[in-house]
Amino acid sequence: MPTVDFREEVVNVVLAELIEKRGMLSVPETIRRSIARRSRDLPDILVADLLGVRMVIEGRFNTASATRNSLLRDARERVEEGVSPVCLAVLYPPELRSADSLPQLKRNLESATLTIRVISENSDGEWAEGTVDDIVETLRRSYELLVGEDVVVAAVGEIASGIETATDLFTRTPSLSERFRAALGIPEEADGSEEEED
Amino acid sequence: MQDPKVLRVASLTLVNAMIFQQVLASQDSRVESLNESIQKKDVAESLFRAWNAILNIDYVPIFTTANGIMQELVGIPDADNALKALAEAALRITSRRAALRHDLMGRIYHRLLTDAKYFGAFYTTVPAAAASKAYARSICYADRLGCP
Repeated sequence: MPTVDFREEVVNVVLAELIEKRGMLSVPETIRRSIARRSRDLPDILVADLLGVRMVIEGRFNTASATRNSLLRDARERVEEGVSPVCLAVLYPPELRSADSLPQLKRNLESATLTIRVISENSDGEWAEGTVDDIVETLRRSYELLVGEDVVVAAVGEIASGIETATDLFTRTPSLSERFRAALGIPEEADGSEEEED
Repeated sequence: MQDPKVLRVASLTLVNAMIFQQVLASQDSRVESLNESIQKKDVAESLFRAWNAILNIDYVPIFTTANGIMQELVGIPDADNALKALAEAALRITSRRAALRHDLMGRIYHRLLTDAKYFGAFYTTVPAAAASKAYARSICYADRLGCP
């Protein structure tokens, strides 16, 4: 049987299906159908559902030294631009590109060692080597972190802590409150600190 | 007598401007980075200057009030330590760029401003904003004017 060169987008979908088989992901039916029809209208990136959280899979064949950096940059952008709160960046070994058939590609991918990194709103992750099973484990940990430590709560905590420190230091200068009030345009009668202070 | 609420609102205004300064600095070489500003000898004065330079470009709604507060801090003992504490918080936020997405920043400010430690009176709550919008639209329809 002649070998076929598969595109990265196809490998992304096959990877997503392998992760899905392990109960961690849901691949949109339209994408699955595109692969089955051998259609060329696959998106560059794959958006899937990670236990209710939107997730992007961004995969590249590891053909050049610069690929790793460009992949990381793009994966970060997906999260920073709000495309999804989690992005799985995967570097595929170049030999994965060729296979006799789609089932063969799936078998090859299942036994391959991939270079992976999970970028989320909470963490930039680290590059690691692993199989599909390792990806599933990494995704599970990232998901738990993501739902357990809300980025908003963390950011509010950081700002609030800085504000409390600054406020304590500002209180040492008795005139500052009145000066700030004037700069902020807060009228005197708006002062309700006694009833609301906690 | 010192009013902690006023001091907190002022601090929030300052940290907001610091976050914005750092974001601008990453995109515009004319803007001094926050890290650079707080490394200088007189932090209040260097931030005051940096924000004046930003005001010469634009961003008036963010930096005018903040710079008015900063002006009061020039030459005040302990001001530099307070500003450094705020800048450290701002830098931690900006280092996690996902936290800067506009929808997240909105949620961050909602959380902070609905805290009783701040002046709720100066904050338009989401229900109030929704009611105002609905009212404005109803007037719009009644007068047969084009609605936003």
